[in-house]
Amino acid sequence: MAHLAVVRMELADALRQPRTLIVGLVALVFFLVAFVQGAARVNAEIAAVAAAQAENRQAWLAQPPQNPHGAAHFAVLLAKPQAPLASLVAGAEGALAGHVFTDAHRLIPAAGSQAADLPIGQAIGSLDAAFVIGAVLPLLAVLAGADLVAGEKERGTLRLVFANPVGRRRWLAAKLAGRTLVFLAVVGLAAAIAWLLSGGLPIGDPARLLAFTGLSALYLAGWLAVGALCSVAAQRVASAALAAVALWIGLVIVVPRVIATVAELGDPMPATSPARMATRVEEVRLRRKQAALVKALKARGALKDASPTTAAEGPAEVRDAIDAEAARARAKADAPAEAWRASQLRKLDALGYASPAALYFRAAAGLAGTDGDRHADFLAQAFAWRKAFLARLNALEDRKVAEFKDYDAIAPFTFVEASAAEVWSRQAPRTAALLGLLLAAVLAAFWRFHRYDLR
Amino acid sequence: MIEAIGLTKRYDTHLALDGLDLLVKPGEVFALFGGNGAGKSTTINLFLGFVPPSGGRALVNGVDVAARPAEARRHLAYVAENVMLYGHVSARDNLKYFAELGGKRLSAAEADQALARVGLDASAFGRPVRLLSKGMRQKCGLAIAFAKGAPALFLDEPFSGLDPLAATELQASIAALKADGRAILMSTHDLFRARALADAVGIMRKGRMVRRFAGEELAHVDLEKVYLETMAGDAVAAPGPA
Repeated sequence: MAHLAVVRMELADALRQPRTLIVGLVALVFFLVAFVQGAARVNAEIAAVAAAQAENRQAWLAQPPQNPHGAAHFAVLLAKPQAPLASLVAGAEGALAGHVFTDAHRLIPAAGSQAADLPIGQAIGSLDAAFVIGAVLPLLAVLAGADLVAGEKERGTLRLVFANPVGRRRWLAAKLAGRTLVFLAVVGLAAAIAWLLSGGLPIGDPARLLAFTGLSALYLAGWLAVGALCSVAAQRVASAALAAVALWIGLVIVVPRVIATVAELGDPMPATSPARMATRVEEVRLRRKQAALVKALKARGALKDASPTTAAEGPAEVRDAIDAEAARARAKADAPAEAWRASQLRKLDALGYASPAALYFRAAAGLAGTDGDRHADFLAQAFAWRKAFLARLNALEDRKVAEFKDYDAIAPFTFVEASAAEVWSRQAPRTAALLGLLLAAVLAAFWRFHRYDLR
Repeated sequence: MIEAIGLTKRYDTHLALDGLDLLVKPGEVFALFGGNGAGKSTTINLFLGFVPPSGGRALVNGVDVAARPAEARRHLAYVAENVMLYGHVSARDNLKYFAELGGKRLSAAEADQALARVGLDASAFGRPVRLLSKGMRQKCGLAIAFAKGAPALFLDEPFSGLDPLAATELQASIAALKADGRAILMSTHDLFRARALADAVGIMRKGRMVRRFAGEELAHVDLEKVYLETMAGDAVAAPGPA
């Protein structure tokens, strides 16, 4: 009964506190800017892709060769749809390609790179909802937590409370629960108002939004618990607040930078030119080999067309051989860069656990679909589409491309989103780590408060 | 009833309280005097269970505070030198909150009754506590103690910083609680009001109760003179009769 009274008093007190209003206003302003910017960013990207697709469609319909051979040469734009929560979390999208052009010769150009999926650089660079929740609100949360016990001590209410038969742990639990509830409610209300004021941000997937909201609530509750830990470690609010702000600076700003630096130490990014040069060399070599093959096939009368120059024509075994060799050559050429990217990601994944902010940014991008994992899914699906597309053109033999009345029927590419379960499973370790941080901070606060000097 | 038996508190090498013995019966007020570091606050902290004793026992209504702190706290109420409640919440809601922590759920009418009992003006009941004067807040503190219905009451410098009118009103409220049968242990520097309220007084110095007056002796002793002599170290450090 007593701990419910503590929660009720926390709510009643908070509703009348000017600081509650300040937290709400700060959150409102930041969310409003983030939502307006997020909507503008997403709308601009959608418009750009739509324009490119329209242009590509017109170009396709007007292509001069008007036959399967020409169509195989002709690049088709495959667009990555906007991530379900792209307007909330920019993630690594800015560094990854939003679309690819594919044709018979080029496997997947303009592919982008997962290495750009850095934990904080992307987030800091974009004032989106994830930045507000991941970097700005934690400062308010730790300050709210820093007042939790030290504030009561300074006001003198702590002695009055414990002159009653109230258990320390139960009181702290009730107090922490009440304050967390208030903080999350105020921040949530500010986000809802900002959403309405911004004219209704496009939210693609309610399930992902729910997951993102839950992750954010867990993350902010963790920061409040960290503030509470500072509060029980100090006797005065000023000392607790100072320690809390120092922790915020350390874990949100300094540690992620250190992580990025450490990840690159002794493992510098390989120059891209050798890989590209190698690719060029391989391409020239392949063309020569291809031409030789075609010449041989012509001599045997195996090719109907008088001037085939691509792997899209001719017998299947020849096409497959050229495709396989091209893939091997490119894999070999890109190997150093790919190895570096993989190494960087492994390091960043491991080092990211040193910073709750880094964990949050990566998990949020994962849930939002603006991370490298979704991009990799996109590339894989685009590659599969290209294979099917070329196979279809090959099957058309002599028919004219102009006979296709509907470009959209020729090039329908539909990206299949990963299932909610898959997205969750990818972020489970990070979410568990954030939950662990919350529990560790709460337990440490309880342990410290048990010895807190009430004099 | 409030009782200390050989109550001792030591912080490392510093002896903060040295074998205190006292007994405050229901309907009695015991006033503790002494300078800073004399041991008054340590005594109250020991009774509240905020620090564990190094020796001896502190009993509230017969319950050993160190052995059963939660049970002991059911029987006591505490009023701080400067009652600072939740400033943005009304006096009424503060009282209801602390009463609930003490195990009593009060209606708004019952809370108002407790506030009226200590002489707080009705217009202040619904006002945020931060807008009340110190005297009014002290009365709120007493009302909380009254509402809890605890038989033992600990007052820490209750008259400190009050204007004469507020102090007189607070004195009347304490007298009402005394008449209600509460045992009251009060630390104070106000010799005048202590004499008016207390059934016994003790002067503390360096953790020891060096002088003690009660009954007829208290009625006739020049408290101010004895206090000044004791603080100057001139008095014989021998406890008088309780």
